[in-house]
Amino acid sequence: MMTHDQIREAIAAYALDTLDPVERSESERELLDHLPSCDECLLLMRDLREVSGDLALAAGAAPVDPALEARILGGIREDSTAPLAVRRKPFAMRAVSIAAALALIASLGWNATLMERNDSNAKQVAALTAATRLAADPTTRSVALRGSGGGLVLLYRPGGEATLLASGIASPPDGKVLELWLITDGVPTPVVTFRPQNEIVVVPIHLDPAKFRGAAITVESRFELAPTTEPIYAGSITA
Amino acid sequence: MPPTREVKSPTQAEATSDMNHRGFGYEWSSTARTRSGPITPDEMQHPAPIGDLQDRRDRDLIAAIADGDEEAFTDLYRRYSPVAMGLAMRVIGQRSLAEDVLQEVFVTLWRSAKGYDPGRGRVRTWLLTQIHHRAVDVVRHEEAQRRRSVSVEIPSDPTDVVVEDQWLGDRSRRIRSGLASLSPQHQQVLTLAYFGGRTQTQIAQETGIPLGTVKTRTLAGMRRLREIMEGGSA
Repeated sequence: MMTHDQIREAIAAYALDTLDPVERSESERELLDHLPSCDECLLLMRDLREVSGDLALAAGAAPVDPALEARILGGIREDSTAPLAVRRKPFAMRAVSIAAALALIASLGWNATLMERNDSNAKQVAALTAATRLAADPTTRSVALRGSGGGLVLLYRPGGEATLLASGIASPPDGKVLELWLITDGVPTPVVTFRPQNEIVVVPIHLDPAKFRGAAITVESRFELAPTTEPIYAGSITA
Repeated sequence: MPPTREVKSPTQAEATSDMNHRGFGYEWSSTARTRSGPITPDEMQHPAPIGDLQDRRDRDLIAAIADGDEEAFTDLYRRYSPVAMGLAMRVIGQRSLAEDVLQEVFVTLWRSAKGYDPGRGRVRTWLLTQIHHRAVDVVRHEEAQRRRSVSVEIPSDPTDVVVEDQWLGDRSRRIRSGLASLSPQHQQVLTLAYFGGRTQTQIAQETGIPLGTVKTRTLAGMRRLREIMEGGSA
């Protein structure tokens, strides 16, 4: 267990990419544990990452061979014409580093921690209000996520709000959560973890399902960046 | 049926849930949201530090790139490739390897522009962080074969390249003078770490400074730089 000072030192080392490989995974785990509950360290992480970005500018500019631009532009054109299927690995094959999660948490900064302190009742009401509005909107689309024990519905307005809704959904075993994934090109993006309350699920989604091809739900021990189990509910999103 | 209020503690569980809502995805991959247009209330509450016009412009470019706009990509490339090359060359010291790093990072940016979330920091920071990260990887890999010496000098202002972008040029001068204003001890660890691609253990071994001291100096030096860059006093 690191002290607060050690955490701060690890943040600086992390921002500079100078953590030792041996220490790295342990430091990152400690940071992941600590950051979500410490505004001060979150802010430090965010600040020091910006400093690191500024340090890049201290290197000064260097001339770039025009041939490189042609090469890169050629690369992206080829990329956009290549069939997606052969470029991407299948579902659950791509793991994401803890570092990616850390970078994200750092940049989320204040909002996440400020919001956690407020009562969940107000949020439930807000979620229900949003869901009702969504359900009443004629442009809203829906995706059914089917599984052995019933199903869930993902309501969404392309480019707008989205909510995951269900009733009669069994809770996962104690200590486990359900995690929603949105999938495109074989890559699952983690969206949210939740547990049904009184078998009811009303979870606002802050990603646009219209940009994905499928949605799935797995049982996980905690918020995972890549699925560790097979989906228990799944459905495709049609354009 | 008994009520099953399952959320264990309103702190950690809710926090996780809220963070998730904001688009917890692969870093710069797959398909989170994109947008352009006016700053949302959410962004105001969640300040992208110093909302300067440069950052807005970069975000708009990324939004266009996400829609497959090659011209926007070329704009962004032309804007940042000289500093990206400067950084990659400074860390790696070999042009062809530096070019490979640029190619990899810019192509990744093209592929993953859709996943860019403005709440997650500046485009510039992301891009240059990726360049640095890849460059350090290359150096550490090369390092396994041969040791190379790293100067702890602050890079001098290259006079042969004009940074087209005035703002970037100014910021670059500011960070350089900020770095120069640090104590030699702080400069040494930051330079070896950032431009030398050294790990903290390597720095301790090479300089004879105890590892604990390397760590405290790294933190102190970074904090001081932050004050300088924020305060505009450099």
